[in-house]
Amino acid sequence: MNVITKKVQLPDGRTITIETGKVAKQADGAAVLRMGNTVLLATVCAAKDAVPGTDFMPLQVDYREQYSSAGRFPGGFTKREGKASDSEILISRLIDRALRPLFPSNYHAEVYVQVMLLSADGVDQPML
Amino acid sequence: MACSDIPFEHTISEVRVARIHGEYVINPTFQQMDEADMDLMVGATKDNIMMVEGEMDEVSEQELIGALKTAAEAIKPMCTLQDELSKELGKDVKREYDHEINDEDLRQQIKTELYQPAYDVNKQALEKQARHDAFDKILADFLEKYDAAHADLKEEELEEKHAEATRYYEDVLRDAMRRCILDEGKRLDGRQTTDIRPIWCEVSPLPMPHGSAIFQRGETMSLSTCTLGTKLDEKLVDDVLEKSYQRFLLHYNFPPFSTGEAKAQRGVGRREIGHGHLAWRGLKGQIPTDYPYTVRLVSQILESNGSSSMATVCAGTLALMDAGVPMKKPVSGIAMGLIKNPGEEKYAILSDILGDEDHLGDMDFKTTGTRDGLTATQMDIKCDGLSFEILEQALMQAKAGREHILNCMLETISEPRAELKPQVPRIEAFDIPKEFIGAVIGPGGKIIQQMQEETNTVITIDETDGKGHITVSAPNKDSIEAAIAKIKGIVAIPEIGEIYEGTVRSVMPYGCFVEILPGKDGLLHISEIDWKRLESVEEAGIKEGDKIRVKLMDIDPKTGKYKLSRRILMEKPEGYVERERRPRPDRRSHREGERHE
Repeated sequence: MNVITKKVQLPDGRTITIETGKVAKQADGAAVLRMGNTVLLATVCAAKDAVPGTDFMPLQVDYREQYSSAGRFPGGFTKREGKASDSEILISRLIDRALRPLFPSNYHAEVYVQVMLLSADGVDQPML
Repeated sequence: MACSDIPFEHTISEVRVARIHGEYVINPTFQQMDEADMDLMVGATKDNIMMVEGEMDEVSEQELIGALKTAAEAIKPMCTLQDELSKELGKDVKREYDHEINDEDLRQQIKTELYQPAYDVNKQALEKQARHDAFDKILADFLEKYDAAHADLKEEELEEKHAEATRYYEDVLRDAMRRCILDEGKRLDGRQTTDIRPIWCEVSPLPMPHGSAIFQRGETMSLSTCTLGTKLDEKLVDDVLEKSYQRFLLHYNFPPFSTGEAKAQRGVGRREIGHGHLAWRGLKGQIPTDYPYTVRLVSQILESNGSSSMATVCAGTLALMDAGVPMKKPVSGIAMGLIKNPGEEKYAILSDILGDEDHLGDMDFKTTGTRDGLTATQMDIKCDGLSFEILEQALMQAKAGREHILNCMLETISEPRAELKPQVPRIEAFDIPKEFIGAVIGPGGKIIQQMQEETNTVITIDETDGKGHITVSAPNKDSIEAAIAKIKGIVAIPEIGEIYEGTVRSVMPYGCFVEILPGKDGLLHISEIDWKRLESVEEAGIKEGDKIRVKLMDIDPKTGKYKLSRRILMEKPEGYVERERRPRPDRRSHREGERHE
């Protein structure tokens, strides 16, 4: 395994660690991000070619929170994560809007970004 | 199908076979199922088993074969019956169809030209992505040449040819992979038939979930988490013929990035439900039935190249042990494959199959089990003439593989953690006498709600077997202890001579009423407040809401009223003389004994 780890310090001393090469290695890119006891996994997969006739940037970002990250059971009848909540969608959009302008304007392959909240301690805000 | 003329090779039937008190029973009743230690669904033709799925209580490989044989026999007459029916209806002659256009020359050309290059790639034992790329390149190169040689064809015609070529090439790949294994004993990734891919495990990769583990086997990886919940988290099963609560849940997720696919994340699909269910069946028997927590495992497949459901079983075991769930025995799982060409003696049983080996092989046989026996199985067979001998051999090879995997897992964590992690909510369960259920709940749930609010806990009561079964769950140790003390208080019967920390509920001219236990007030007479004579209760500085220590002196046998004393707990002043009291003979007789103790 070729694991690469990088650290960055916030002005107040908290550290963000980014690790890649350990999990989700079949994605085009994957990174595990940690701050304190908060852990997120971000992956990206892109289609090799653009669908003919596409004249926009087909980017889709999905931010999803696992109930187990906070040691909770999902409610409801199925007791399972289902459709994205409004807050998950809003966070997905925040990511989307930041990423979208940075692709080359002539790049039209489908790109899927998935961010998963794996561990949350209620201290640090995972959406940041 | 038998009543129709839709093309279909053999009639099949399906039975459930259960083992009840050592006997195999075909299609048992619901009632019989309750006592079964083996539950298998078997689908078979007259001659071959096609599909198996089931769960069992740690049985041996031979016992499983026994059940399969019983099922196969039971299915034969059902198939014969369908064959007769089909013949009588005249539907044994199937309809004509023509769904494929085949270019036999092209098929032959691909076979002769591409077989060897494909075989050579096979032998190189590349990783999944590199191998797929290499295979794709062979076809792409061929098609390029083909297009150049057939410049006269129109674009649509070429496209059609490409589709055909892809189909023929698929057959070539299948052949190459199978021959390489049969003739050289060498698999797509270079393994011998019995080799298991390298295994790597880690527990607690995530800090906040109650338990977590990574299980990686070759290019397949599951990240599993375990969450412990309360009774309120149980899942209601509300089916037509079954209504129950599930206390162990397992959810399997297969995000598209696990195989590097550029696809949107969809809702839970049928495949995910099925894989999760199999892993659930494999593990559920090992969770103690009296475990107070509701347990939920979630398996995220982060990387996949075959056997991800079995990786889920392994990661699930690790996550359960990491959470400190006292599972009876650890479980591991493996997927077995088979290569067997019709009419050929040679065959190969493959341990721990890759995605491609599942796709291009003849069998996908998954088994899960502890060291002592099988707990679940799922099998699909694509070939004819699989004998029970081969099946048994596959099962024994699977057993050796499972042992190896289990040993790797136990090197990482050898037994369930003794302590729950600090962030895990606490649950305690105990029984109370039935007659107290009402008192704990209170009128309209008032008492129970108040207790829950005050202690920040969740309290549930069930009436079972003539007892009240209470479960208290709390976010931490302190609040659970507070809640239990409150419940015990309601349930406790005040005992004469016990000292209580009571609350003054009301003040009267003749004394005050003190709640010694929730809902249980006793009279603290003015004469029992202090050794010195008091004119009023206020004189002793006692007011409503005060907490005071009192001793229960007596319970009136007629009225059940409690008589309390405070002064008995205070030091008696020197030279204290018992004051004369006005005679009240009927009551005095009670008191006398204690007054002078």
